[in-house]
Amino acid sequence: MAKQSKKHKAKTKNSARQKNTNLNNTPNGFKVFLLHIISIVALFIFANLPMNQKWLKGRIQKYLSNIPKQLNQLDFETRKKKKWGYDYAIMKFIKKKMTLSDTLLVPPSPYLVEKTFHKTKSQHFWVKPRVFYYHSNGIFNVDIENADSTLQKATHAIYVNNKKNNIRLIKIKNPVIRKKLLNTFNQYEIRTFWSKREAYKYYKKHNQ
Amino acid sequence: MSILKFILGFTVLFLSGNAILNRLKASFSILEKISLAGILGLGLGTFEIILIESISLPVNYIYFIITSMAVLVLLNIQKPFNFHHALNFSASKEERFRSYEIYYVLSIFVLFIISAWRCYYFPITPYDSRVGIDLVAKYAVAEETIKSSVFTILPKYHFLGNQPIYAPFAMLMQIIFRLFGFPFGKLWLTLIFLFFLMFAYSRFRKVIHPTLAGFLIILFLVIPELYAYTFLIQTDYSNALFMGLGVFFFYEFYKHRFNSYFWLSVMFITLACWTRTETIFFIPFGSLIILWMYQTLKDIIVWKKAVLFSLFPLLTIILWNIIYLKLYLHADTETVNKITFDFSNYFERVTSNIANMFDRVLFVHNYWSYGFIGPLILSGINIIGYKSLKGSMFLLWALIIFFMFLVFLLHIKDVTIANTFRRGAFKFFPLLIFYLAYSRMFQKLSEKITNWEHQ
Repeated sequence: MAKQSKKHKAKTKNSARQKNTNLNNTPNGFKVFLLHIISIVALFIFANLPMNQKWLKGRIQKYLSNIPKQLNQLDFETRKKKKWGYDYAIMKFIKKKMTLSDTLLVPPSPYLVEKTFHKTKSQHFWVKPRVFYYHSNGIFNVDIENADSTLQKATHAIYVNNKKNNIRLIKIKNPVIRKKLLNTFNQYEIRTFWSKREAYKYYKKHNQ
Repeated sequence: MSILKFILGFTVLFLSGNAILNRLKASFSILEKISLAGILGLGLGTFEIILIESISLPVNYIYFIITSMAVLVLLNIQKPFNFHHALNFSASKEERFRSYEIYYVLSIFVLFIISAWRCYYFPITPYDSRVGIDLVAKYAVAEETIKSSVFTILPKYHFLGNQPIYAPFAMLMQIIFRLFGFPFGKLWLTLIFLFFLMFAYSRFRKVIHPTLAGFLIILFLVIPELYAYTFLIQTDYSNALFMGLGVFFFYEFYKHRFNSYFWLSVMFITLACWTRTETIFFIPFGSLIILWMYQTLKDIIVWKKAVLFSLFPLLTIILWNIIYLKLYLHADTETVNKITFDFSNYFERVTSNIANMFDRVLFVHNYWSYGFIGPLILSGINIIGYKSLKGSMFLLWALIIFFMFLVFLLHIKDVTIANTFRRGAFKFFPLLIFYLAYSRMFQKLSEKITNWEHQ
């Protein structure tokens, strides 16, 4: 094996040497100039191929033009709000009102979409339990899929004010409130909306 | 403060990566050495986090730095840091920067900067990451242990799903960069992306004319779906790059039979398995290729190499999927139950899956633009027109990956073409550009340009 390696090494060296005899000549100045022109033209043509042009104009140009604006908005809160939108704003509000020992009862997504879509227009409805936990810095949450014994731990709940259709946080002071909330939430199916379009479709269907 | 934490932490990791490279007798250009040391250092850092957790120390910045420094010292014990050796790079006339390369370098730089900025500026958005790798990382940093409330309390409330138990590389990198003080972590992906571009460009310039090298890198960069994943934190992009580098060094090993290339291949393939679990199923084919390439089954050294090639990646799978997930974190892993042995209408299912893999993923131009079809046509021209199989090791690995994904689709329940295969297909693209760089067509074209330029 060692012999084989040496052979290969020698072969590589020889071919490199042959190559270098050519390279020892200084590149022709005019041809270097031509290679400048060829490089520019090649890149221009490549960038203007239909699919590349679409991507460069649609995405890259947009990304590039957003940078100056983003440089003026460097604080972390703005960046989080920008990307996570309404979901994050609600989460922040809830976090302020609750402590780590509290547990939140979150309604099924269809409940929130049906009642608040026209206001929130949220891309991804944030009530997915693990997403909530990601944003909540340690506040646990339960939903109607949990066992009754777990649901009893809920100290707060999210519900929608029927008159103004605003999302509210309510403190569950007694079992009657908990039961009432659970009765309402149980009328809805458990499902996830993966896109704004999906949520809008559901909203339209249930608000005609 | 976070920048100082990052500089100190990354310097230690980089020097560790460099120490690993110094132990190998391969010669690299300065750009290659920087990029390989950077990637290997970051990879090593992830194992250091596991080490800290395994000896029940708190996962915080201080312990990470102490451990990293200890590892750095250990790596330099037998072979102390040699300034001359560390700065001994291979540099020949053909590697010198040519003025007309500026257009390629500038284009690459602009695309890289946009990606780096978006990676730095925005928090983590993909759902899979917010309920998976970054959820685990965020709470690991807050509670100073990987065995945080995500694994101890959250499962009592909700089904965890498979996202938190993905192969851990991306999650561990998130931990490291959160420890460095970056609130969103993330920048590790930018670094790996940068190092890969540096390595590929530098290496391509050695084997083909710089204009062709620049063109290939740009062809790889403007693939829309791949580019988007350079700033979205998922496991797939880094997995594709590691696999690409692993196969590249495997090819170099195949060509030259140098042990250094073998070990570099093992290291990058191991990192690929540490990043996406499914990768382990491709690796035994590498062992078979090693047995085939030496044309002997009697030599114990050949067997040793073949076994070692699969053993190291396998150890990472055992470390995470069995020791960590099952025995330590007691996470719910159900992969075995998802395997099916349904052979009904097998031929029809095979053909329809192959058709769908092309129609719904590989030929979807919105994903890859010219990034798949272009190299495919060029490869065809090379094979038919130049009647050459040079560099076909890359294509062989691409075929192995394709074939194994077909097997996954047929026999694992949750594997889908739209998600699993689409993201797994990222692995084809580094392989395709490496193949083109080493193809006879590009080599011939390159020779012609070089000769013409110097006449």
